[in-house]
Amino acid sequence: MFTAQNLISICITSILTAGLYAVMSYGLAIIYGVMKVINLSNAGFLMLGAFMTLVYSQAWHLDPIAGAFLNMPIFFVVGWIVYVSLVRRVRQALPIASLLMLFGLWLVLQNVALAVWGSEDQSIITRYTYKALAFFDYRIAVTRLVVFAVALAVMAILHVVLNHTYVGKALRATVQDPQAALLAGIDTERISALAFGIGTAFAGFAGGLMTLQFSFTPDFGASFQLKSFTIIVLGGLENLAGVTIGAAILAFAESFAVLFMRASLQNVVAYALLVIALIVMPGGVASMFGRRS
Amino acid sequence: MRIRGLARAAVGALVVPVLLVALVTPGRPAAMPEIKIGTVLPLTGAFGSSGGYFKQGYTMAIDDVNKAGGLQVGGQKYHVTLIILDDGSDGTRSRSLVEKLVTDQHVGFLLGGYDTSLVEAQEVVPDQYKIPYVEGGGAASGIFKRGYKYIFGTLATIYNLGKITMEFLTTQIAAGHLPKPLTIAVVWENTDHGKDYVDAVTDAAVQHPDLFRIVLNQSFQLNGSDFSPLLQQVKASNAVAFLSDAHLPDFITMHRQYLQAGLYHQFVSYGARGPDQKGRQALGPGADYLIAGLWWTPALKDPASQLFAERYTREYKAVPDWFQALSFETARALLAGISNAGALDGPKVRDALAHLTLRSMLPGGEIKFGSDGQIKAPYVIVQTTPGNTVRIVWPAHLPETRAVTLPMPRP
Amino acid sequence: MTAVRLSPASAAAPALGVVLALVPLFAPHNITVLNLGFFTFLYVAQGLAWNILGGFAGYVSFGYAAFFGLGAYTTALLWLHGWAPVLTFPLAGLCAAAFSLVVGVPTLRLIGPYFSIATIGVGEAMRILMLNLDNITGGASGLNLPTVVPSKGWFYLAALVVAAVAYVTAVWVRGSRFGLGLAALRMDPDAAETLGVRTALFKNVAHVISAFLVGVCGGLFAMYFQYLHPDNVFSFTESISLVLIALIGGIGTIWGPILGAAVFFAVQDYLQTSYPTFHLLVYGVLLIVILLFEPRGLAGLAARIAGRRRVPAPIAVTPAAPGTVAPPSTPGGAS
Repeated sequence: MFTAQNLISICITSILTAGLYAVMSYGLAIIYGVMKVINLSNAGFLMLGAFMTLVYSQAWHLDPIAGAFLNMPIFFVVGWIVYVSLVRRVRQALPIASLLMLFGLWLVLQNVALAVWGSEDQSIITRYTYKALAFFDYRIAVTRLVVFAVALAVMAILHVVLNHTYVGKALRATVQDPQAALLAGIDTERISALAFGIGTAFAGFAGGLMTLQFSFTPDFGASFQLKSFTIIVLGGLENLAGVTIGAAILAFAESFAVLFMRASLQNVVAYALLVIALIVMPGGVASMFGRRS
Repeated sequence: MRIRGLARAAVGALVVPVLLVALVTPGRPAAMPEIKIGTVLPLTGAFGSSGGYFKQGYTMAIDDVNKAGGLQVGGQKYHVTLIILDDGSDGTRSRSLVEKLVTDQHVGFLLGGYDTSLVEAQEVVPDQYKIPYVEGGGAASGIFKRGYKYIFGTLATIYNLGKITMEFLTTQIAAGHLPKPLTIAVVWENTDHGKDYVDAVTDAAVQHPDLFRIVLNQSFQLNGSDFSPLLQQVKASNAVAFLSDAHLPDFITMHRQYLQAGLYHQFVSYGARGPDQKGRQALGPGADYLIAGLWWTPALKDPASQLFAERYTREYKAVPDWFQALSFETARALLAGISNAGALDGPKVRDALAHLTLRSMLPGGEIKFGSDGQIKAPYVIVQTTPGNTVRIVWPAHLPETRAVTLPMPRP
Repeated sequence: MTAVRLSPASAAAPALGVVLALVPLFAPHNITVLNLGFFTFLYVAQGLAWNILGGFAGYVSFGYAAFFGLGAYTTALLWLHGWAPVLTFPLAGLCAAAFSLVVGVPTLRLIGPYFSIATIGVGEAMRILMLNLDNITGGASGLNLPTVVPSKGWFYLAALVVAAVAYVTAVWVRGSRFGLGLAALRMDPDAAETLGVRTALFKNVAHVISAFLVGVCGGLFAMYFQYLHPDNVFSFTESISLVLIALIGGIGTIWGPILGAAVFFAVQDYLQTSYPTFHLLVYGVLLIVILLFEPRGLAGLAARIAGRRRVPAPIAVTPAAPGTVAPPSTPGGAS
């Protein structure tokens, strides 16, 4: 069980999984970073992203990757609308209000999907679903590689946007210090709507990508929701780049934990890390405890 | 005045359609008494597709009886009404709905739900109200170890599924198709179902240490989404045979990830999974050459099985799995019990069921319940073959049994 | 400790309780009514209990199923060892309360939303752990409990008693200095602290009290259901039911959870036979609508109709009328 080959194999899968986890969590991180709102409907949009990709695949035989990219503008618009109509109105209240409202939205999304598509397990099979690449002694599923590559590409684009465009810099400024950003002439309301749109777009995109690896039902997304939150907490809540670190930590922890315990306890790793990280977290934790750092 | 006119119009608007509907609907002949049978199935939720199949089987059997003029009980013919409720695959709701059926809808008899965990939640109710309960969806032996008198099951225990899988392996080792000792990696869903299975596998390994060596024994969470860490361990264990006890959604997810990870074993069995239509659609050629132990298969050539398979294909335009056949036979068993009792009295029907011997298309040819209420019936083992076909490979004495292809061909 | 003021609302509850208690006398064989009553009262009790932490103190927990489940399994295991089930209820409550202390001390230090997320993690982790602790809980096989139980009428009355206890507790908490302290720390924890309110202690006491009550409910449920499985009693659905009941009914009020539980079960019962999960859609929509327009839920709606205006809800989104206490305009803590 602890042979070098096995351990290296686990490392490879962990890295690939981390890529997917990072993309999945970015939406949550952006929304949280800009407006300190915990978007519990992220799971719902993840699930809808998967189902929309299914629709494209069934109607136009569109590859899931193309479907995932197609989701981006659509979900951006949806996110913008959700922000303007729902979230903006509760932002002045205690943060728990926005959390609960988005939770309500998650319930609605889940049950609408249930009504439309039923509760059957869905999956998308492509020409390359069962193909694997041989890499020395290791076999890597093509779908995992593709998901990882696409995730990397998108994050690189995001990095460029955040650092080299006005919108990106305005976003980062708002994350760092909303009051100062306001003083600097940035329309923070517009930025917030933008952030929510981007966050939702990412959720839809990730949902589409995940159809390559998982089958899904309207309940899809619930366990990933908690994992996403674990990831952004681990990575440092204010830190967009930290998402990749958090994703890597979780992916490695999950894969290696199975060596030491029952596989049926796999998800407890994420939950335990979440709770421990929330309580013990270094860095951004000061803001969570109600005091300015 | 206008209000009265409106009210009259409203009443008319309601009454007229109702009258029309009542005239047009082919109801049962007036004054034919009815028997109400209730069932709570998972029509949505994790077990939704299987629950749907059970609904088909139950409905087919009850329609048969009604079309033949009703069920003969004592000197009277009765129209049979089936009331189906959906528990959404939730245990608490399942039990509440069964109780509702008894207390609100006053059903006289119950047909069971699908899946061990839901049946175990439901089975508390029948004895309390002395309502006979016949199920074909829960196979774990734990269901029948609680001392209930009104519970009957047409599914042979999962322990036997594991046992005959190991017996089949013994014959294959003896025939030289598989190495000796055979290294086995066994994974099982963390439920009563899985526990039955792994108990049988480990028992066989303990009894025949020269034949079997278990190199991996791991449980996994029901309805999981990512089995890669588990499959990683399976790979690292370097076993020759891979045994897994899983329900349909987990089977599809796990085997897809198995294939993607490039795993290969000479013998692969997912318990009772493999020929399921949904699985074959999702996995394509990846689902070929799997070994499955089944309570029934359309590959059985006896007239009753063939008749059922053809009829199902005609009505539903698909190939039946064991779900539909078992639910059909389960309903038939209950109806036979009621008929044999000659009365609609719960305890009398219960006794009739306890002594029932019913000819059936299930392997073994008959339905007969043991003293704990569970059927004693054999399994057949099949191997899935290319082109969405199956071939029966065990027991040897069946005329339709063919040779098995082992070791599995490499992809 | 201020006396509990006797207003029409608080006199109505005991009267209602007496009326409800007489129902089994008049309809001893109407199992439907008795079952519905049992579940409604059980959830009224849990809703009132949850509200002590969630409404009064403002800490919304999504993980109360852990307490319900622990209470249920405590009763179950003791019962299997020969205890009379009724005697196990206080222990069920104590077990849940002890666990709430273990979990609460570290997590209650987090503010609002982070506490909520942490509770989701704890709740789900407990469920999976219980599924795997075969030697103690029977794991995924579930626990089969003795089949000799009292009548449905008995369960109806027992649940009513538990609901009454929860009601009295909630009323007492709200009218006491302890309750005042909870309200203070909900509105502004730092100010409360400087005023001498021992926020950490108060939060944890509230958590313990409500967990105790929910644990007792779990024990009663185990006795009724006679079969326990972690997926039934530790489920996320159980946890969110409590949140929904309190929110829809009116968070932070006394009658809120009562109304909420009644509506919750009425809707679920009505929809259950046709669409088993449709009621969650209804609740999701209700939740959004309530948060946008009437954060005090149904109780607030009723109060508004009756023409009364009081302190705004803990999660009000509209500014308060002049002369009343306004909620903080920035999220408590960091901006």
